[in-house]
Amino acid sequence: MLSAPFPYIANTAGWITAEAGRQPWLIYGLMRTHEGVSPHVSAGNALFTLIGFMGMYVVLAILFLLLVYREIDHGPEAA
Amino acid sequence: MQTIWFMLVAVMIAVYVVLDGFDLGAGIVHLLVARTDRERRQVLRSIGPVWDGNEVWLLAGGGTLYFAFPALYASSFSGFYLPLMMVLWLLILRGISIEFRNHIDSLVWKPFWDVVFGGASALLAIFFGAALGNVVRGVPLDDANEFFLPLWTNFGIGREVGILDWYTVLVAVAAFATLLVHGALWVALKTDGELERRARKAAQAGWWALLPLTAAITWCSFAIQPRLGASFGARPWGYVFPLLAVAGLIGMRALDRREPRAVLVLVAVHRGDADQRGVRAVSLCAAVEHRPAARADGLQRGCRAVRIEGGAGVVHSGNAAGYGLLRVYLSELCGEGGAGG
Repeated sequence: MLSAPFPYIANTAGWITAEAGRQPWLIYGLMRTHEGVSPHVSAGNALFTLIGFMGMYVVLAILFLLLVYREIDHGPEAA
Repeated sequence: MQTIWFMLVAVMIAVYVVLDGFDLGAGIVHLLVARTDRERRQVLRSIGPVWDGNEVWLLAGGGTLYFAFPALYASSFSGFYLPLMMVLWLLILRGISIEFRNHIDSLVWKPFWDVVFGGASALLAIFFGAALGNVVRGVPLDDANEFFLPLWTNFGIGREVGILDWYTVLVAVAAFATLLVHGALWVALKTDGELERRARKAAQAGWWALLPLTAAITWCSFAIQPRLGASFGARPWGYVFPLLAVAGLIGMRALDRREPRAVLVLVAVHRGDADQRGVRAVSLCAAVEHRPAARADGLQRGCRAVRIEGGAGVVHSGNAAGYGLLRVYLSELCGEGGAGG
C-alpha cells in the first residue's frame, strides 16, 4: 500500500530532471530556449493557461484520490 | 509533393470531423433525448468503444500538419493559443465525464457528469465551428508570418479581428446544428424505442435549422473571402464538394421517408486559398447518415424486429475500436445487422 505513490514520484522526478537538465537548450546544441518562444503569446496568456491547467489537474487529482479511496474501502472481491 | 501532404492533412481532418462529429453530436443531444439513467447509459455505450479512437484522427491531423507544414503549424498554434488551450480543457472534461460517470451511483454525481459531458460537447462543436470560420476568413499575418488573435474585439470584420466576430459565430452556430443532427442520427441508429424516436425528432428539428444556416454561411463565406470564389473559378472540379454537401442535406430528408435501411454518408470538403503562402484551408465537412424510423405498419414491423437484434449486437460489440467501428457500422447499414462486430 505504501509503495503506491512511488511510481508517480519517480515518473515526475524523471521528467523534471530531463526538462531542467537540458536548459538552456531547446534542441541540444542547436536552438536556445529563448529562440523558441512564440513572440505573440504574452506572459499573461501563458500564466492564464498555466493556472488553468493547474486548476484542472488539482480537480482531477482530488477526483482520482476520491475514487481510489472508495475502491480501497470496498476491498477485493471475496474469493 | 506538397499537394499529397495537403490532401493527407485534409483527409485526416475531414475524417476527424465525420467520426468525432457523431460522438460530439451524441453529447449535444444526450441531455435532450435521453431522460432516464438507462437511456443515458445507452447513448454513452453507443459511443463508448469508439469516441477515443475517433479523437486520434485529430492528433494524426495535427501531427501531419507539424511534419508537413511546420511554418503553418508554428504560426497558427501560437496565434490561436488561447482557444486551442480551451479546446484541450474541454476535451479533458468530456473524456473524464464519460469515464467517471458510472463510478459512483448517486443522484448528484451522475447528473453532474452528464451536464459536463453535454456542455463540453456543445462547446467543442462551437469552438471547432469558430475555428473553421477563422480559417476561411483568414488572419492578419505580420512581416514574420506571425499573428495573435484576442478572443474577440468588436465582433466586426475589420483590421482588428478577434477569434469571435459575427461571421465566425455564425459558422460556429452552423457547426453546432450540423453536429446536433449528425449525433442525433447516430443515436437514432444505435438505439431503439422511445430514445430512438426522440433522437429522430431532434434530427428532424435540427435539419430545419441547418437549412437556412447552411445557406447563410455559404453566402457569407463567398462575401467575406473573395479568394474562395476565385479558387472555385480556377478549379471548377472543386464544386463537387459543395454539391455533395447539398446532396447530403436533401438525401437525409428524402431517404427518411422512403427506403428502409438506406444510408448516406457524405463528406464534403471545400477548400479556399487561406493565406499568402498558398497553404490552402480545409473547410466544411458535413456528414450525413440515416436510418429510417420504425413505423407501425405490418411490413415495417418485420424490419423492426430484425433491427432491434442488430442494434443489440452492435451495442454488445463493445471492444470494436477505430477501424472496427466502420466495419460494424457498415455491416449494420448493409442489413447484416448483428453480424457486425
